[in-house]
Amino acid sequence: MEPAPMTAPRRDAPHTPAESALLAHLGRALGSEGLRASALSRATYRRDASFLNADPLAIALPATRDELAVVLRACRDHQVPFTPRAAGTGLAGGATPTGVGGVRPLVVSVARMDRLLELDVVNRRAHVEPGMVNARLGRAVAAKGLRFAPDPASQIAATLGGNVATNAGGIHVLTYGVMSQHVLAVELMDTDGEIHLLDGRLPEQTGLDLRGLSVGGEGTLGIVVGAWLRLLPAPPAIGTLLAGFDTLEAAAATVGALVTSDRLPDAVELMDARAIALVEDYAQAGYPTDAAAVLLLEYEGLAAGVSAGVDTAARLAGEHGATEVVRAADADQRARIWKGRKAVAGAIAQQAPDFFLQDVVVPRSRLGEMLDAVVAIGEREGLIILNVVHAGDGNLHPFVLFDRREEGVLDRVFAAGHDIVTTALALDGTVTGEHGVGIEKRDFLSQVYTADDLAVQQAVRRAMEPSGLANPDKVLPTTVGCQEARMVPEGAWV
Amino acid sequence: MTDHQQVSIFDADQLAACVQCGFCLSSCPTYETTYLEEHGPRGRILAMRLVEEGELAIDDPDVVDSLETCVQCRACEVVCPSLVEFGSLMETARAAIEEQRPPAGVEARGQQVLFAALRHRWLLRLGTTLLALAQTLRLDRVLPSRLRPARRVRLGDTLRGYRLPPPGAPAQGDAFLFRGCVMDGMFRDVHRATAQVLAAVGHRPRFEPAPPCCGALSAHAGREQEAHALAEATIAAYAGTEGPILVNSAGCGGAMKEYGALLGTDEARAFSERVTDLSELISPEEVAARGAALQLTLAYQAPCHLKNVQGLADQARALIAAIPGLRLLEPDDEQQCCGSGGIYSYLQPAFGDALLARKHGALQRTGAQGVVSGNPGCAMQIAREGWEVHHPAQLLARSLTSEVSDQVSDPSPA
Repeated sequence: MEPAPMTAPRRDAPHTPAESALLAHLGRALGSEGLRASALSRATYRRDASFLNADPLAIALPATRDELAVVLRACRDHQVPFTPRAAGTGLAGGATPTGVGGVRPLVVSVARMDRLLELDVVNRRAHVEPGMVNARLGRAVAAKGLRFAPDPASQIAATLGGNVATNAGGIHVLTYGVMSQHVLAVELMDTDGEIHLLDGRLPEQTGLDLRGLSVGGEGTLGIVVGAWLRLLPAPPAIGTLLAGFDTLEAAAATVGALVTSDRLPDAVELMDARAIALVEDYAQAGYPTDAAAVLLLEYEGLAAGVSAGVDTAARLAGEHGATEVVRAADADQRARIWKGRKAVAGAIAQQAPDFFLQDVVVPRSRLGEMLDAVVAIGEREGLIILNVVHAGDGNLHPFVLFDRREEGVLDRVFAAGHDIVTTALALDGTVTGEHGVGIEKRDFLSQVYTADDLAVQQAVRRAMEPSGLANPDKVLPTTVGCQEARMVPEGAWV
Repeated sequence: MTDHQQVSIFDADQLAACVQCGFCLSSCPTYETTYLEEHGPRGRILAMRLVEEGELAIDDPDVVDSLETCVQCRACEVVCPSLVEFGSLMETARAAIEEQRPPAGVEARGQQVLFAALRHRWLLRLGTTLLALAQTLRLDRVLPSRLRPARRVRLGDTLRGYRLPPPGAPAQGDAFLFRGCVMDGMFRDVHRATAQVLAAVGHRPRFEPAPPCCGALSAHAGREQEAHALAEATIAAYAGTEGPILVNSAGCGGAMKEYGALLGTDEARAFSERVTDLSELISPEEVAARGAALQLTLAYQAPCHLKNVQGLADQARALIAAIPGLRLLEPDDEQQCCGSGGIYSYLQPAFGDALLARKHGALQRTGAQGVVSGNPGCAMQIAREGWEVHHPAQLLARSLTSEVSDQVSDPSPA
């Protein structure tokens, strides 16, 4: 591709001949219900759940694979880039419609393709369309005594296509792994409208793992039009434990002891003092308000194993100086313990209208250092930062609180976010645990990988998606042709 | 970019509360119809922000479409992690649209008559009587189907007054049955059943005072002043009385429980505290212990304003399920809106019909014989698909009173 100037087209820029031809073609193929280009429609697709925003050319909403193939071939024929999306709950700008070479992209929403195509109980797998909501699959399989393990916080709205594309996680990553462990096969559509099945539909894979490559591709390798997902038996018993600690270090040390014990928990969540104070005030979950940190621990499986796990956790927490240990006696008490964790966003809403949610990973052994560093970064920038952590796998989610209407606050918020990432890297960590790279973390990849590594990744991407039209400007750092996204959301002080 | 207006329409803090996370999308029945952001809560709030910033005008046709296609079910508020007061924002938006471009022509005259009828009981009764006559003579069939109420109104029912049912348990004091507008005009049988239930559990049902309308329909349509006036009149009517105000229309109950927030006065807040649903007055245990068996298999439809505004859907479901012999089935549609939305199904037939079709499918998949739902709008909407819709009060009355009778002398005038 030719180098292009770094200019963002104006919002009301007139269409180029190629854009006009594409819109006319798609208007005929999809009708007004399937192609939207009004000022309001375009504005509502400027961003996902991140602040990164840019103006799309139009939005196409194919309802079937055939319609999607028409859309992608039209993009190829008219050389217009496209940005795949569905619910737009991503936090890294992966669905922000940045174009390439000064050309605004077409947003291609697969939200209408939302069916459960097959639920294969005996082989414990589900064949889904990309627009199906994660929690709906969970409910559908629960009726058969099965569960789908990946449970990102956005699961009530986030779609499975996006979960595949971003390699999403959730609170059960520690033992069940991220999305990649639950995807048997991906159906990927290329810009010729061809569907490629990567790889087989059985858990046993042979040859090069192209399926693994496509999970986490964030739409840069083509569009996920279907996935075969692995289902697990629903656990017969669940045990939950809450432990409070005087210091972050004691809580972090307990996490280290737990994951090296013979009873690995299925979920290990940590919340720091600021998070506890806000949440207790709002949701009354019964957390000790004088604690520096609480751990929420959960075991799943056969009753005897769960019981042994909870005993082990209580003992280890006590040995590491826990000031309070509460075992959930029944489902109501378990719900109350989790209520606090789930109420974080609501509690924040009482304090500030906006938050910037970070996503970084450090080795478990450096968790205490990282948590202290985040607190220090907040103090330096004069911002409240809460730490909510998938502690078992060292995945931190610092919430930076602010009000976008405050003059100059976004600069401080982004400075804090930047420093959190560079601190994680300095502690031998990485830039994202589960939200994906998108645009937000793209340029940090140069600090994660060598130039050689990135060149190989770029070559693989080009081999799989030679047109360069699929979600350009995402994931891998580029030196040419990018249309920069704006960082300032609607309603912010500028 | 042009500045369309500089006047602030929305409450800045309410608008700032949305972080655009998108958790609301799957709860929104209109988003799930077109899968377009502008037909979901996040897109609608963005439309409001763009209006506030002057990027788009409040009377831009796409902005109007985005905001007026909201059915105001408020399911998004329940799932919103940031506690956005979406219902209030939407009512503000409707009022601003109403001011900028009031309805014109036939639609305007139709709405004038409709809203005048809500304010004046005699006009409503006249309309209901004419409807009953027309239905008897089958003249209503000349109306297009979306304007033809699916509910059959019986002339005798409309003209007959209310009678006090016999007491069924030790006295617990007065309970004021809110008669409302549509309920009083077209659902007098539900009011009679409610009175029987109240008497059966020891309350003395009172049919007076009878303020004309709670104002919910006016508020949803952006007729802000009318909504305030009707709320104030309703509160004033009950001044000097004590005891629960029993509301058997989920939409009215939801609106009346929000009078405190609407008017911001201590008097309004105290009034809202008195507003009560049957499920808050009677326990499932009492029904299970005392009720006679009803051999029915019904699907439960939770009215949006019972579920999302009053937060009573589970409690109300438990009360009905406690009736001995009754099998209550749950549809698989996550209790999404049926598309009634007050007068929404008339104003937005494309969305109203799509929502009804989905509801009909979900109800059919339960295999139930009929539906139970405690809101007049839902009842009439679902009946359009041929369903027999029972009000919870009717089922409770049949179960709790050995014989259905209202032959005792009536101290209250009609």
